Parts: sequence; C-alpha cells; structure tokens
Amino acid sequence: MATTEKELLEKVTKTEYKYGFTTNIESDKAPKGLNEDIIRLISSKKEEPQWLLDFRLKSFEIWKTMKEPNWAHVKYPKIDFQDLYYYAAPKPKKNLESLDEVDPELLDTFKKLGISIEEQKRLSGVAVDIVMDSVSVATTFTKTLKEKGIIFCSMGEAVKNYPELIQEHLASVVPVKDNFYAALNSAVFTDGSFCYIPKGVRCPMELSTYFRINESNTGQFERTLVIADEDSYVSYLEGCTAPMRDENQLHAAVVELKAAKGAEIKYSTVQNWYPGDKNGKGGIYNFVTKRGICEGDHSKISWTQVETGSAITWKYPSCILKGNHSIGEFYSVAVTNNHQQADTGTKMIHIGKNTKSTIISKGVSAGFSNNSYRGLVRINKSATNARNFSQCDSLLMGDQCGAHTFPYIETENSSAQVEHEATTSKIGEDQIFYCNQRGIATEKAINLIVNGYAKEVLNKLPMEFAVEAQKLLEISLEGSVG
Amino acid sequence: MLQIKNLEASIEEKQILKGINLEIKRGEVHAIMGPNGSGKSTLASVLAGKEDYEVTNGSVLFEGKELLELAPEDRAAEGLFLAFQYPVEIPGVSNINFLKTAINSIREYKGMQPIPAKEFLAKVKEKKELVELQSTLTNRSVNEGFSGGEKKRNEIFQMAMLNPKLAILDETDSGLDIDALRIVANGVNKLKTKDNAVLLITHYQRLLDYIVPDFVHVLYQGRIIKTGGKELALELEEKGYDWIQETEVSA
Amino acid sequence: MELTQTTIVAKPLPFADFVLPESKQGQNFLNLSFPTTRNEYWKYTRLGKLKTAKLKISQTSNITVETINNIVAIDRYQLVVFENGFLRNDLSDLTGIEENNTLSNKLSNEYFTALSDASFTSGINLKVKANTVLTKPLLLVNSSSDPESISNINHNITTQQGSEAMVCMLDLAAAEGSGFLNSVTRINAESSSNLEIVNLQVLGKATAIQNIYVDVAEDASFKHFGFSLIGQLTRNNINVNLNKTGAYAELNGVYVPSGSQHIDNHTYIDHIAPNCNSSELYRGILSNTATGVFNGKVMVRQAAQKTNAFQANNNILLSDKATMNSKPELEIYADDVKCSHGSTTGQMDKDALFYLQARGIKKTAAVKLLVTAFADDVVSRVSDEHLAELINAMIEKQISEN
Repeated sequence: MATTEKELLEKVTKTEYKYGFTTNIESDKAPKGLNEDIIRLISSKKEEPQWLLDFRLKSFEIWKTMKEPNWAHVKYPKIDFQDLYYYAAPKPKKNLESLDEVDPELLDTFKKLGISIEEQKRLSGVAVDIVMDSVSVATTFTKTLKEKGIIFCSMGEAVKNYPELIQEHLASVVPVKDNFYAALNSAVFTDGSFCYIPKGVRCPMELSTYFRINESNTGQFERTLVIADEDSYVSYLEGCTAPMRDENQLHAAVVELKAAKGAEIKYSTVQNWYPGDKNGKGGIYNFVTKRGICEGDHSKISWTQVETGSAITWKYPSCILKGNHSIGEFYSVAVTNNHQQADTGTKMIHIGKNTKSTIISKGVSAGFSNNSYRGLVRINKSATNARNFSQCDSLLMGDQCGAHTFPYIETENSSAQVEHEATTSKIGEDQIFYCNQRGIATEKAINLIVNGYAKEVLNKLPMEFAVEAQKLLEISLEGSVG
Repeated sequence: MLQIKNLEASIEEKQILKGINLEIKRGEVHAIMGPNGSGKSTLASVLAGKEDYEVTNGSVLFEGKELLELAPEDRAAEGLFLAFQYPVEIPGVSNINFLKTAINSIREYKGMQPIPAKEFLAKVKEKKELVELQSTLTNRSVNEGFSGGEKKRNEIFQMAMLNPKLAILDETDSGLDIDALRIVANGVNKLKTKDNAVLLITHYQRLLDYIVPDFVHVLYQGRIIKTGGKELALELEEKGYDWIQETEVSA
Repeated sequence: MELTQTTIVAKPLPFADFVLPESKQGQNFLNLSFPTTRNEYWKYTRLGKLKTAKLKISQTSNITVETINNIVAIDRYQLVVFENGFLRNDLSDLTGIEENNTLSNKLSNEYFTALSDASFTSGINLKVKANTVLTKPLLLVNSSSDPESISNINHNITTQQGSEAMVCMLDLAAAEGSGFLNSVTRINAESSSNLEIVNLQVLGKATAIQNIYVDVAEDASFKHFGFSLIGQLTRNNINVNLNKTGAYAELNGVYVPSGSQHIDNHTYIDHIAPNCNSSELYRGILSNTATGVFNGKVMVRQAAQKTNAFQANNNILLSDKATMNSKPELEIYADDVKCSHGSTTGQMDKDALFYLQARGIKKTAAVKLLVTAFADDVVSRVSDEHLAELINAMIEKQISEN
C-alpha cells in the first residue's frame, strides 16, 4: 500500500482546526472570578428585572452547596471557577436594527465560519441568532417570523420583551438544583436564544443559533429556551466553534424544550468547539445540560447531534415523555480523536401511556481518545405500552483509544417493550481493500465507510447541516485506521 | 497487457504461489482452473494488491508498468478490476455513491474532471440493464442484504461501470444458479472487446460453457502445470484433477 | 450551669462481631464501609434489612439427605454438605477434597468478600489433578436452616492442566428459614482444563450474597450457570479474568423471582489476553412485585486484540408491578474486536400466545409453555441432560405456582 497507517495517522493529527482564528473585536469584560457582585454586575449590564437577579442569586447559593460531578468516564484537572471571566461582550454593543449595523469584523468572523449571514438569508432561509462569547449579536429574519407570531430572539431581549413567558418557563425543565453546571449556568448565564411557536403554527424556516467563544479565559454560559405551543412545529439548529487556545475553556449551557399537546420540536446540534491540539492541550470543556419535556399528548421531541469538537464533552440531551402517545428521539454521532474525551448519551423517561422512544448512537474513537455512551431508559409504572428501541454502536480506529457503553434500563411496567443493542467493531480491512480495488484511496474509503456508518443519524439533520456535518466528520477523522 | 514472471507469494510465512508465469494479451480470455487450495484466489488477491500476502519473488508488468509497486487503488485506476469471490458489504454507503466515488477517483488519477451527473446517471441506467440488475439495488447499501446472485451481478455491474482493461473474475460462478450464471456470463461477453482481456478463475468447467476461453491453465500447488485450449477444461471435467496430477507428476 | 457530657459513639460496622479483628483480613474488613445504593455497584440493591438483622453463628443440624434428594437425585453425585456455615461430615463424602480451614491471603475491597475472608467458618479445597476427569460430579450443598444464622463459606477450586470437572452447587434454605448465606468461591482453571459449574438457588426467605472469582488460563474453558429460583434477596457477583490466549468463559443464568423477591446478577468479564472469547446469556422471568437486576460488564484491555465478546439479557415481566433493571456495559480499549450486547425487557410475545390459544391450548398452559421455552435457551446449554431436565421442571413448577 502506498500510504502506511502511520503516515495517515500523522496526517490526521496535523489537520488543523479550521475554525481556530480569533477575532479582533474589542470586548467588554467583567473582572475574573465569581461572587455575588459579579452576578449583580451581569444582571445590571443586561438591565434585568429584580426577579431575574433574585433567581441568579438564589442559584448561586445553591451552586455553592453542590459538588462537581465525577461519575463520567472523563479525566481532567480541577477547574478553578474563580479564574474565569463570566462576562465578555463584543464592544460596542448597541441595538441593531439591520445587519448593516453589525461590526464588519464580526461579519467577517461569520464568513470564516462558513455562515455568511447574508448568504444564509438569501439561500437557505434559515433564521440565525449568533451568540459570541456570551452575548447575542445578531438575529436575522425576526420580522418575517413576527408575522406568524413566532418569537425568535436572544434571551436578553426576551427577558425585556416577554418577561412573563421567561418567568413562567425558565428552569421549569432543568431545575436549578438539577446538577452542578445547571446551577452555575442559572447563576451566571449571559445570553442565549429564546423561541416561542404559537398554537397551530408550523415554523416556515429552520431556526438557527451559532455559538462562538472568542475571548480567552472566558466561560460561556448560554441559556436556550424553546417553547412549542399546541400543534406547532419547529426545527432548531445549533452550531458551535471556538478559537484555538492553549488553555481550556468552559462551556456550560442549559437548553430547555417544552412541547405542548401535538407539538413537535426538532433540535439539531453540530458541535465543533475547539478540541485541543494533538497532545491534548487546550480545548473546550463542554458540560451541557439539555432536556425537553413532552408535556402534552401526541407531542414529540427529537434531538440530533453531531459531536466532533471539544476536549471533553459531558452531555445527555433527554426527553421526559409525560404526555400520552408522546415520542422522544435521540440520534447522535460522536467522534473523538487525539486526546478528546466524550461521555454522552440520553435519558428517556417514560411517564405517559403509549409513549415511544428511539435512541441511535454512533460513536467513533480514534487516536488516544475515549468515547462513552451513557444512557438511561426508564419506564415508569404509569407508562403502559411504552416502547423503546436503542442501538448504540462504536467504531474503533487504532488500539490506543477506547469505546464504552453504559446503558441503564429500568422497567417497571410489564406492557413495556424495551430493546437495547450495542456493537463494537473496527473498520474492516476487507471493506477498505474492496474500495481500494475500485480505485478509491484508503483515506477516502474511510470517509465513505464512516459516513455510511453514521448515515442513519446524518439523515436526520436538515439538508444544509448534513453537508457541513459530513465535512466535519471527514476533517476530524482523516486517515485514522486500525 | 499482463506479464507475470516467476511470481512467488506467501501468507503468514507459508508459500502459496511458487513461481507463476503467465502472459495475457489484449482481446484474450484466459481461464485458470485448479483444485481447492491450489492458489487460484491467492493469485487474484496478489494481482489486486491485498496486503495480507507477501510477494517474495517475481514481477508483474501491466501495460508496461510494474504492478507490484502500485497501491491497490492505483492498480484499479490503471485498469485492473477484480470481481470478488465474496463481495464485501458496506453498510450505509449506497451503491450509487460508492460507484461515483470510485469513478471520480479513477478520473482524478487520470487527470480528468469528475463525471457530469447526467452522464453518470445515463451510464448507470445503461449498464444496469446489461446485468438485469433491479433498479432498487443501486440505491441500497453496497452489497448489504443482497443475495449471493445479486452480489455477483453487482460485481459485473461495477465492472461495466468502471470499464477496466483487465477483469479478473474470482470464482464468480460459485453460488450461482443456472439463470444467474447465464446473466453474469452474458454481461461479461457483452463487455468483451478486442482491447480488453478477462482472466477467469474457476473450479468448474460450467462457466466456460458460457464464457469461452482462448487459453486454459491448470494451477496446482502454486504452479501452472498445464496450459491448453478450451478442450483442456472439458478433459479436466471428465477425468478430474487427479488425472492431471498423475500425468504431470509422472511426466 | 449544668455539665453535660457528650459521647460520640461510632456506629459499629454491620457484621463486625463476626470477624477476627486482629488478623490482617479483619483489619481490611474493618476499614471498609457498608455498601449503600449511592454506591454504583449497589445502585439497584438495598441491603437495609440485612444491615440491621440480628444474626448469630449457629450450629443447628437439620438438613437430611432426603431434603437434598428431593431436589437433586444424589446418587449421581459425590455429596458434600454445609449447613449454617459448618461442614456436615456425616452427610459428606470427602474423597479427594480437603476442608478449607485457612484464611484467604487475598485482601478484597468488596465488602462481603472481605467479610467472608475475615471470618469464614468453612469451605472446600478441591484440586482436580492434571489430565484427569472428575468421575462423579460434585454436589456441593450450601444450606441455611436457622433463621438467625450467618454463614460464611470460602471454597477454592482448581482444575489443573488438561483436567475436566463438573460441580453442581446447590444453595438451599429451609422454606421457613431466613438467615444469611455469604459465600466466596475462588476458581483457578489452569491451562486446557474444562470446568462447568451449575448453581441452583432455592433460597426461601434467606438472603444470599455470593462472590465468585475466576482465573482462566490458556485454552481453558469456564462455564457457569446460575439458576435463581427462589430467594428473598439474592446477589451473585461473578468476576472472570481471561488471562491467557484461548481462554473461554461462558456465563448463563435464569432468574425467576416472584412475590417481593429481589434477584441481582452482576457479571464482570475481563479480557486481558488476546484471542479470548466470552459469551453471556441471562434470562429473567419476573412476576408479582419482584425485582430483577442484571449488570454485566465486559472489559477489553488494550492487549486483548481479536476478542469476541457477546452478551444478552432478556426479560419477561409477567406482572405490572414487577421491575427489571438491566445495565449491560462495554468498556473497550482494543480495536480488533467483536463485542456486542443486547438487552430486552417486555411481556410475552402476544402473537405466539394467540397462536397457541388458537390451537386450543389454554392461556395458562400457553404462558407456561412459552416461558419454559424462553428459559430453555439457557437450560439447554447445560451439558448434563439429567440436570437440565430437572432444572426445566423446577422452572416450570416455579412459574405454575405464580
């Protein structure tokens, strides 16, 4: 063979992180560290009402009593929470009426990210909210959406314009006490997206948020809330990038979804935070709490994620299936390379009758990475005729990495039907040779095979994201074959 | 087109090919026959460049180039095609996508632009009919869930799409019923021109009723011990491999 | 001002009275803490009642040969009987077997293993000599007849190179009796040896915790069958190390908890060497308010290339109030491996049930038929046909009674 495995492996590790530029935008930063004063400062910068400040302070009190979780299959040095910036906003920040007013440097950043706002607007009709460091800087298409009664704006604006909706729903799916990072986020979240789809409305376009961490030593704590009223539908996309930095950066977001009777929320993520260099230096700690509740009968929440970035991922997008006949889905591709660590999966909590859930998880591990699926399927006593099907596959490339599966399956109702399957394998040498014989070089053959392996999940992504995700898989994995 | 000189190859230190000499010219059909374990499939794999085998001696010239120095994909791009005895399944990768990637890889090797979508689809339609391949099969994952006969037909379909100079058919007849055998053989015959060549590797004479060889070689214990015309195959069928072993060993 | 004196009394560790505190094993035990459900290993099994149970060492001798013979026909076996942790010499045939009277040298951090190691009363040492076959299979009875007794049993079994043995372990409690049976079995399957263990658990109201540690050497094969038919609280931990190339382990089980019984099987197979295979099949049939737990972990170390590991756990819930917690785990550090696990929980196949009813079979009979067939996939793997037949009958009886 022309290229040896070793050469290929070297090539992968030399593949540079494409999104690793920084943007020279002056930013407005609060001092390092976390205390009540910082929280008051964040709240006042954002001109928040008293109830929200109270919520933050209470969350901070709760957080102080909590301990960092250590059960995940990941290892990292202790985080000094006093050594982080909790607020950084691109400056100057004024109210933006149109895209023309956005800092050209910022627009340039988005172009480099491959998300030219103009282009997106013209071609794909995707409404985009962009959150840089902690603050939402541009939301497109707001007006078009307004006509349908759809609210899509930054969390900051939502607090000002729709306080009653926020007050009612904030922390109603992920309680402050839920876990250490959720409590931290509740205390210091700076922005994020808010979305409300009124009764009977089918959102005519994909709603999309891009998150980017730009400042060094900054924690990003965004908060997303999506509410789908009765019989409505929304497809929501989220993309993430960060510059290359030697030090680790913390991202602790909270996402809450609520689906009323007959509503459907499709939430897709393409996560490509900076994974650190080939020696495992730097990279984002991605500690995220995502949960949705199917409150009404016949509602549906579907999570799709393509996770290729972050030094460490700790993330379990979950569904609480409370309404009868409600449906939860989780489709995931998680790729780890070099020294990345991922511990990700889902929880499907069946409460309502005739509830259904599907879990398809495809892990790919290469280099020195560790990739774990951790999931809970719980069928409560009340969940008559509940159905679950889980399929968790792992693909290993090279013998220095690990692939792990930790499913928890708890069944308390005899009419339930719960099925879980998992397999672990490597890319077959015979498959690669077969491709070679048809003229396809090994590296391309691996891309082809991995994409085929992940197809079931990639198919769930909206078109324009699927292409991007496919490219990301290629970048993250080029050549690592065992 | 192909000149094999004194080719020796081994797997896990065990020598399988012990000095093969063979020349194939344009427009010719050669058949290699031999009992199980004689090295037939090893020869096919070595020519295609399978890593498991170590070439310990000899040379293989393909259109004047030393084949053994090329990576498997480059051999394919040079025009060598192997129809696998056991076609491999690749879940999630559609036949169409697979073929397009293959064709464009080969075109890239030759410094050509990728194939236009329209031309590609027209070609798919045309070649599919050649092997009576069902429309749905092209959209399914490569060989996944195909029956034995469908897999073999798919191999010939790929061969038609890639239009190789030399096609090696490794036991393509095994596991085929008579109808499937006829379809596969018809496909191969239609693809045959005065500029390309075919190397059939088979255990039975049956296939040679449909694809008539110009030369028949008998491979035994890693060596070609007898070469003749198509009548040699018939003789073998009648008298069995024992006959040839005896005559050769005693001679 | 009144003087008050506060004395802080450290809560004694459960069972501390039974260990030899001056031994290093005793010290090891006393440094451990009683497991709670906050401990991942005990997440689904509550030991609250055991923690506060008033237990004593008891030398009651009630078990008769007839009691045993009613369950397993003893004439086919070499019989060795322990009752409440003591060897019943009068009922046992000790040919080729020694009583185990020494403390284990191993210091375990597993609470109940450490307890047994630090306080054991008895057990056997069985060494099957190289290149021999154990002519009569061993029937090893571990029984409890005193509702207040605690028994700690430590067995050591070695099958020397090229030898072959089959051991039937019968864990037995008198129907009325409760008591606590704690046992540790250490197994050493030397190269090219074959060992098959069939464990029958008919444990009434007793609590039983069993820890089995197995080392499997080159080309050796270890098979274990656990049939948990009755048991108020049963916990079986089987830990297997596949140490050398060609080692094979097969772990199988059927658990049929009813009433408010709780049966928990934890398996751990550690693929240390390359070219080893393992296979697991556990099936549960749960009725009433019973709870079943299956936690099977397969570890594949970096060196363990060409591993094949297969694991399946299937459960049928016959009642709305029964609970099954299944946790199959894979932890894999080698790439050239084939590992898979599957877990299913649900009710009986309705179509199959209907089909049988349509052929005139009564529903209860049809259920019995289907459930027995479900269990038989495991039972039929037992190499001793007599025993397999017996187990099938026991499972059928158990299901009929519920």
